[in-house]
Amino acid sequence: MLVLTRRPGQGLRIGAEIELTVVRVSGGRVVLAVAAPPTVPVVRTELLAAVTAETNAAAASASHVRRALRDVGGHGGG
Amino acid sequence: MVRSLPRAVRVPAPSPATTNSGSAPDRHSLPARIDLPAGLVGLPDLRRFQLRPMPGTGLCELRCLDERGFTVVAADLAAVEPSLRDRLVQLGFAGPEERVLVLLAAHGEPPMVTANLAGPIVVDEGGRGRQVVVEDPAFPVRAPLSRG
Repeated sequence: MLVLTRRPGQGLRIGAEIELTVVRVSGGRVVLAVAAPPTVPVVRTELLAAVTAETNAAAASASHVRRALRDVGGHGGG
Repeated sequence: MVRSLPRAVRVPAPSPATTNSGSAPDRHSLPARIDLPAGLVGLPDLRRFQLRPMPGTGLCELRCLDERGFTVVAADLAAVEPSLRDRLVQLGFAGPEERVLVLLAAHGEPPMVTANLAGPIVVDEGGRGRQVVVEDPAFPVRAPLSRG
């Protein structure tokens, strides 16, 4: 893994089309600006993990979902 | 910092496209088989799914053919929140002709059903699809499903 030190205002380029710039650093948080083509998805790694966890939760709770929504349907229109 | 709760999306109404278990799909019907060449996000081995409408619910089940017992309940985003489906098209996550499915999960006791708007599955007419990740506050991982 490549590890680099950057200061606010400095950046780095990944390949020909992706540019990362450090906007500011404060209180243990780093604000980054990402410039990338629309075809390149840019997402926080924790969001990826959350989506995977929610997919697993959907599989684990499928029977509860079926039951809950049948109950809703059984109470008539609304 | 005030963090608002995600807005609720509606329980889909039963529709002919999802309640009809017959073998003659109209042009709006989802295919009975969905293939995700890249697999699900974080679950790359789960690629092939059988889609079965759940009669009377407006929902469908996706049964994974790659892992026995892995079944999820999904809703068509156009049925639960059409504006968000349109937004995904605007953002380039889905084409105008593609269908967007969101996975439902139950949390807590009594169970609250939520829709995963952050990780929708986009499917073309041929059944080829992909799960995308939407980095946008309007697309939470757990949007409560209400009767709205």
